[in-house]
Amino acid sequence: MNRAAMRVAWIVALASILTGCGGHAGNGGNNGTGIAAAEDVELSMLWWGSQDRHDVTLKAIRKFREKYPHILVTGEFSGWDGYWDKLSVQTSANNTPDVIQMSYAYLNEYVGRDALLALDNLNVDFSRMDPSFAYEATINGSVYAVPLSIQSHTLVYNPRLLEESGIALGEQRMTLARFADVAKQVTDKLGGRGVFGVADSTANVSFFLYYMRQLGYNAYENDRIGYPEEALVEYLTFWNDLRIAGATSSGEVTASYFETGVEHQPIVNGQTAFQFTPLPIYGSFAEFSQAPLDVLSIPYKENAKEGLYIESGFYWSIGADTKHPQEAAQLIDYLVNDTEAGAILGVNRGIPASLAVREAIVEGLDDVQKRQFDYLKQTETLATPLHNYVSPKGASEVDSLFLTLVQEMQFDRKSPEQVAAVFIPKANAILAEANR
Amino acid sequence: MTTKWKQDAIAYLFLLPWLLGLFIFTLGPMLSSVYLSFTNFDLFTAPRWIGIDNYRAIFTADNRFLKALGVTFTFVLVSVPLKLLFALSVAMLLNRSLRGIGLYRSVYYLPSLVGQSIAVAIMWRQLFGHNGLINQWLALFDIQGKVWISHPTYAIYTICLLAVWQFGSSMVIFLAGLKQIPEYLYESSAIDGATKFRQFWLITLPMLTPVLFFNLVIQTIGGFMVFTQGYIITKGGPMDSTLFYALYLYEKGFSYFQMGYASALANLLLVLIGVVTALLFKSSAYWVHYEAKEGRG
Repeated sequence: MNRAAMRVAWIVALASILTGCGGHAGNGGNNGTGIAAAEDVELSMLWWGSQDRHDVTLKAIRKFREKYPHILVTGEFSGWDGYWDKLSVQTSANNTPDVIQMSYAYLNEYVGRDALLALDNLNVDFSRMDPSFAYEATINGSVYAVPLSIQSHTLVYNPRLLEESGIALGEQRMTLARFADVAKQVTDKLGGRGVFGVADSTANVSFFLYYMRQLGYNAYENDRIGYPEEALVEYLTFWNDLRIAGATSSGEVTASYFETGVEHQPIVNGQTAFQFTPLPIYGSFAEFSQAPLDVLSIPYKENAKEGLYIESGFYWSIGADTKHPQEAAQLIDYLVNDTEAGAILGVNRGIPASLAVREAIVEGLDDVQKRQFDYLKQTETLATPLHNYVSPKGASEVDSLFLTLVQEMQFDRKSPEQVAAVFIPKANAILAEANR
Repeated sequence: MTTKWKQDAIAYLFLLPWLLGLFIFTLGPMLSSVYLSFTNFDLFTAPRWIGIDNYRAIFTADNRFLKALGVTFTFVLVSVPLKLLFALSVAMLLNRSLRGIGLYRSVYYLPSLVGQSIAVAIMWRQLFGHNGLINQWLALFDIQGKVWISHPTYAIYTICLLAVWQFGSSMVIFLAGLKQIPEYLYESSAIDGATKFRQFWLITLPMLTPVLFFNLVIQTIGGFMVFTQGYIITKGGPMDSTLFYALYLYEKGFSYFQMGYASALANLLLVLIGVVTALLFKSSAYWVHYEAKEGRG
C-alpha cells in the first residue's frame, strides 16, 4: 500500500494546492474589447442611489471610456442602505475604490482616518464650479472631495391627493402651523384609504437641521451638539403633535418606510400627500410614482430665522491607496466638468456644481428636471448661508441614537421632553469619545 | 517505526488543505480578534493597545449590550424549542413508506436549505410588512393587521417564525434517528397492550434523546449567531427590539468604526456560547439515553 499510496497522496495534495492558488492570470481586465493597450488602467468606482441613478452613471462611464479608451472603469453601486458598511469593509481590506461617492456625513470619518486622497496636486478643475461650494470639503487645509452638485431640502407633494381632500394651497409659502392643519385635513378626508397627510420626518437629519437653523442653532458646533434642550423639545413636539393628531403615520408604519429605498416611500405609493426630501430625490420619486408630483418651499416657522439652506449633497473622492491617482482625477473631472457627462447625468444627483455644465444642460431638461432647476433658483434667493455642516466623527452613531429615541417617542414610550433629556448628554458623550 | 511515520505523513498530507483552511480562515482571524479586542482598532488606522478598556466599557457603560443579550436569548428560547417540536412532529408524520414520501420530505427540507439566505429574508420582510401578504390575507377577514416587522413587540417574533419555518434540517436528522429505533420494541410493547402515546413517551422519545441532544446543541449555537435575518428584515429596530448580538457587534465594528470594541463583543459571544454548550453537555448525563451504555435517564 505504502509506495503507491504515497505517490497518490502527493499528487492529490499538489493538485489541490495548485487549483486553490489557481490562475486568474488569463482573465485580466479587458472584458471583451480584445485589444490590450500598452497602459491599460483599471479604475473601480462606487456610488449609492436608486436604479435611475445607476443607469445614468453607467451611461456616463461608457461615454468616458469612449473619450479615454485606455481607462476601464468598473462601476459598483448599491442603495444608501448598507453603502457605508460596504465602503468601510472595502477600505479596511485596503481595497478602497478609486473613485468614491462621498457624503458630508462621513467625510470626517474617512479623512480623519487617512482613507481619502488629498486632491490638491491633481488635475481637477475647480475654476468653473459654483464658488460657494467648490472648496467646501477642505479639511486641515487640503481638499478631499469634489462637490458634484448642489441641492436643497424640499417638500414634495401629490397635487391629486390635495385636490381629493379639497385643499387649495395658494401661491404663498405656508407657515408650519398652516402646514400642520393641511396635513391633518388630508388624513381626515382620505384616512379611510390608509392615506395620511405627511411622511414622518422626525429623524430626518436635513429637515432637523432646517428647523434648528430657524431657531438660530446648528446641528453640531465644535464637535458637540449645537442646540439646547428646549430647541430639541420644540422640534420633537411639532412632530409628536402631528402624529397624535393623525396627520402623520403611526410609529410602526413610519418604521416600515423610514430609511428604506426610494421605491418604498409613501409619497411614491400614494399613501401620503406630503414628504420632505432632498431635491434630487424628488426626481427619483417622480420617476417611480404613478401620480404626478410637484415641489413646494418648506413651510416656515413664524417670527423665526430663515432656515432654508443650499448644500452640496454629493462629492467625489479618491481612495487614499489608489494606484492611479491621475486617472481617477481625470474621471472625476470628466463627471463634474464635462458637458456631455453633465447632459447624461442630468440633475439626478442635484443641480450640477459646475456653472458651465448647468448652462449647457438647461435646455435639454424634461419637466421634472426643469422644476428642480427652478426650485433651486427660487431657494437660492431665500436661503441663508450654511456654516460648518460637515458632520464630526461619531455623527453616524449619534444619528442611530437619535433614531432609536425618536422611535421611543413615536411608540409612546417616551415624551419629547424625556427624549431630549436623554439624547443630548448621550450624544455629547459619543462625540467626545469619537473626537478624542 | 518508519512505516508508522510514513502512514502518519500520508494522513497529514491529505488533511493539509483542510488544516490550511482552518488556520488561515478560522483560527488565525480568531486569534487576531482576541488581540484586537485589547486595542482601539477603528478599521483604517493602526490599532493601539488599550488593555481591558473595551471589556470594562461593555460591562459598565453599555446598555445596548444588555439589550442585545436579552433579544438574542429571547430568540433562542422561543425559536429553538419550537423548531425542534415541529421537526420531531413532522419527522414522525413522514416516517412511513407512502408513495412519494420522498417528495414530501424534500419539500419540508427545502426551507432550511436556503438557510441564511438574503433573498428569503427580503421575502419575509415583504410578507410581514405593511400591506404585505399576511396583512392582505388578514384583510379578507376584516382584520387590520399591524405592521409586524416594524412593531417593537412583534418584530422579534416574525424573525423567530422565520427560524422555526426552517426546521427541515433538524427534521431530516430526526427521521434518521427514528429509523434507527428497533421495530421489536414497538412490536413487543404492542403485544403488552401499550397505547400509541405510551409508545411515543416510553420508547420513541428516550431512544431519540441522543439525536434530540445533537439537534439541541446545533440549533442553540446557531441561534446565538443569528444575524442575516435581523440585518435584512428589521435592521435591529424598531427601538433595538430585534438588536441581535451579532447585529450589534456588526454595527459597532463596521458602522461606528469601533472594531476593537466589536472584537471584544465577539470574544464574549464565544465565551457565552461555550458556557451554554458546556451546560447542555453537563445536563445530557441526566436525560440522554445511549443504547450502548447505561445512562441515568
